[in-house]
Amino acid sequence: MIIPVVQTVGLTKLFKDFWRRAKVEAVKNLNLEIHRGEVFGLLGPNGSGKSTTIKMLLGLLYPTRGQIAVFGRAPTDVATKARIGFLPEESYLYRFLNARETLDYYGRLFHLPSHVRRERTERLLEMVGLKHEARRRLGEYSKGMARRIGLAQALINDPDFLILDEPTTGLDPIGTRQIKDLIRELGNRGKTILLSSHLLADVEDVCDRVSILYGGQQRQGGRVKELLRQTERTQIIAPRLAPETIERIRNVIRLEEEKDLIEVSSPAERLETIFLRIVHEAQVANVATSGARASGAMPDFLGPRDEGEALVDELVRAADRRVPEPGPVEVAEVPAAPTGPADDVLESLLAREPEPVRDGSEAEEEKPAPPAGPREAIEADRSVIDSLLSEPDKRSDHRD
Amino acid sequence: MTSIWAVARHMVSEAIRMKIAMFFICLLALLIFGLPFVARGDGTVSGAIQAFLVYSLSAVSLLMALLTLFMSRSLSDELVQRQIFFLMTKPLPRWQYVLGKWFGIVLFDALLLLLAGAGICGMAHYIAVSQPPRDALDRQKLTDQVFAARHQAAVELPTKLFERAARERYERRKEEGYYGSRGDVNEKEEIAKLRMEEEQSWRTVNPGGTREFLFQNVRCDRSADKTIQIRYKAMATNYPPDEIVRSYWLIGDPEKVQPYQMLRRDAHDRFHTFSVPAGTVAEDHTLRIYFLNYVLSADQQPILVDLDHPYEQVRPFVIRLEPTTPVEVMFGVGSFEGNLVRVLALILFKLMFLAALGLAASTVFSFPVAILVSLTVYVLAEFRGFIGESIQYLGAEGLEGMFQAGFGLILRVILFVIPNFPSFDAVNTFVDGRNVTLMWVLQGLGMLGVVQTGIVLLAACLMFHFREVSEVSI
Repeated sequence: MIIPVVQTVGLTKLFKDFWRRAKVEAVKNLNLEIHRGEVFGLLGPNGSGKSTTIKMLLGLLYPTRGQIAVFGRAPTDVATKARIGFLPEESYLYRFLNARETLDYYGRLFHLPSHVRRERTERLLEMVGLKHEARRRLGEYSKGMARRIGLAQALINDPDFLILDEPTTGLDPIGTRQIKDLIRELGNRGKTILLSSHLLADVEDVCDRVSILYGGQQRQGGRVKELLRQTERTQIIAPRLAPETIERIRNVIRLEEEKDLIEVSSPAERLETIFLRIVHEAQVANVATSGARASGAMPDFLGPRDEGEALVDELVRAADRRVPEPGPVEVAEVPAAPTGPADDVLESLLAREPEPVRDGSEAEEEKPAPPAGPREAIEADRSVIDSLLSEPDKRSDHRD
Repeated sequence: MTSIWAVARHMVSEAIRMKIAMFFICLLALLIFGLPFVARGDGTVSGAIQAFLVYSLSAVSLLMALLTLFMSRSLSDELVQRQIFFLMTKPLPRWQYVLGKWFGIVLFDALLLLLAGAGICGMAHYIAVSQPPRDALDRQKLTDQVFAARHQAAVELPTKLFERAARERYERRKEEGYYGSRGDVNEKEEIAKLRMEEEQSWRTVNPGGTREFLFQNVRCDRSADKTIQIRYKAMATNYPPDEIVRSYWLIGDPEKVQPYQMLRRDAHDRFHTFSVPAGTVAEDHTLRIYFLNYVLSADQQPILVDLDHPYEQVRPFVIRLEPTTPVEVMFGVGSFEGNLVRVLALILFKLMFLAALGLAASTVFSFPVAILVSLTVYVLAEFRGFIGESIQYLGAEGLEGMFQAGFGLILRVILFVIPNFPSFDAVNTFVDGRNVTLMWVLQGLGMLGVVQTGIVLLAACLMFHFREVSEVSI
């Protein structure tokens, strides 16, 4: 029997006043299961019980009722804690220590030998882009830099289970992007990750499954793509089209489906992309900064790498090693497809019945899906076009 | 152990960088290196050194105690500032965390005490070499009583004799009908009162009278150049107009050694120490001292005339030797430096308890409340003897029945946990040049450093174990 990494049954937490009278029920009868290799998102507005749940999982709070098992053991068990990495919602670090001393201290608490501590400290500092600031006291760090050290300490023990409470709080877009990339790669390397956030975009980008809390109770939960899927709409992405073509498409839809197009627009470049490009250019020009620099590669000690190593590396380093691709990737990729001029594609589209979007979710039921939301969305969109393109007979018929 | 050591190292590192620690360290340095230039004592070099030693060691003891309590706030700080979230999610058992903190504080204390001790020792020697002794006596006192660790042999009081005499007097009084038909006479109390009278009588030497003291086990170096010291305090019961007590001393058993004799004129009601040759101690390590309440003429005849004032008739005075040990014999057994180390060890045991106390308070309370609780216990511990006596009195006279029994039990438990700091304060002993015995140090280690500190540390670990570190009180 496979033991879930986290299992809670009827988990309840009551906060009491000075006289021990129950005042607030922060978590109510929560049942959760997180499996190995999953990136699990705990969503909810402020006060929904996310942090309380995490603190109970870590043994920082004791449940009023219900049961918790982490790796099949009590959260207070020392052996359990040896397998956990935790980044709290704020980086509560020692202001008088520098980055190296901080990581060394936490490494000692995991009983790591000194040479391992030294090596991991250097690798992690490189990864979070703070190697050049390693001798500065943390009291002088910006919030984002402290957050990066907080993340580094959470990884010092190469945890099997990583708990990240609002990990992107206080981070600039580069840091946010790096954290998200990191979560993805760690997920790919078989780590189990619990991500708590109220920044929905972050969760949507990286999580396999989510649980949405409100008032201490789970309101909804499940796989992200299932929750996000809009079956009543179809999206087609194409290279820039002439107004006449769009009009023709509109007419076809009217004729065939008796519906009208909801929106026709040109995709805008994302602000994140522009920002990352500007910062990258500044880094290439060696503009001085006292903040975090470009992060290095993820250290090898953080679990084995899988077959998609090259692809993941490419994604993780996207912000640093090349100018980011503008806008949605699919725009650039579509012309590369062996489909001839765009008009041809459209003609083929006009000639056939719209097919439901295939997202491959059934195939991924067996094992937790590692890829992140947008990547899947891209693949889904491409799959629609590819499926259409793979029917040459129909297309040629239509041409005729 | 690895985790305890990691937390302890971190604690030391934190303490070194604490501003409050820096403040205390600077204050200590200022006192240790500044006092020699202001401490004058009685005008002699030995007096100046003794004054310096008293002030500097007392300051070290007090400031280090306060610093220890302030350092123990580290735990409550980590709870408030939530660094504990990082720590308690590591494979660090809570008891190891508390123990690590305690060990770190004690380590830092030990380090500071070592530095302070070295500074005090160095400055004491600096005073000795930088100022010439006022006279030969000053020079001798410096060697024999200041830079010395002397064993103190107290005279054995004939307590059995007192008991027997008191009982006999009581029985006699009873037979003579002294107590009449009084039914309220408590035999035990009456005998105790009579015993006290017998002892006072023994301490009292009437004019022309002699008192003999026998010291055993005086294991000193009997070389010709060595001396032993005799310390006594005499009170003339009928107050002398010149406040001088005159006495004759014969030191050494005439049947075993060549006795040493001397006439003394000492201030009334004060301790006096004088040196005599160590050869007065017999080979069997016994020393016999005769105290005579009269002066001798030049031809060794007892007269009641002061030799220095031959024409002045000296009134006969009754002399009472005080206090509990009327005469003490002291002889060197160790070095000044070794003695200083033992004094510092006793201070360290006190700090060990205070570190545990501060941490225990911090596991429950936030900083201001924790420091208030700790300071209260610290003050209680400094006045523990007085409080213990008061409570005993309360138990005997003020409370009755079950309430007395229950309240008394609670108080006894509290008093057992609260240490009696003065009983392990060796500063005055050290400054007097008396040996701080290893047994005393071991008692301090056992009682303060192990039992009482252990109880408080255990309580701290238990309280912290059951505490929700992320507790929110609505």
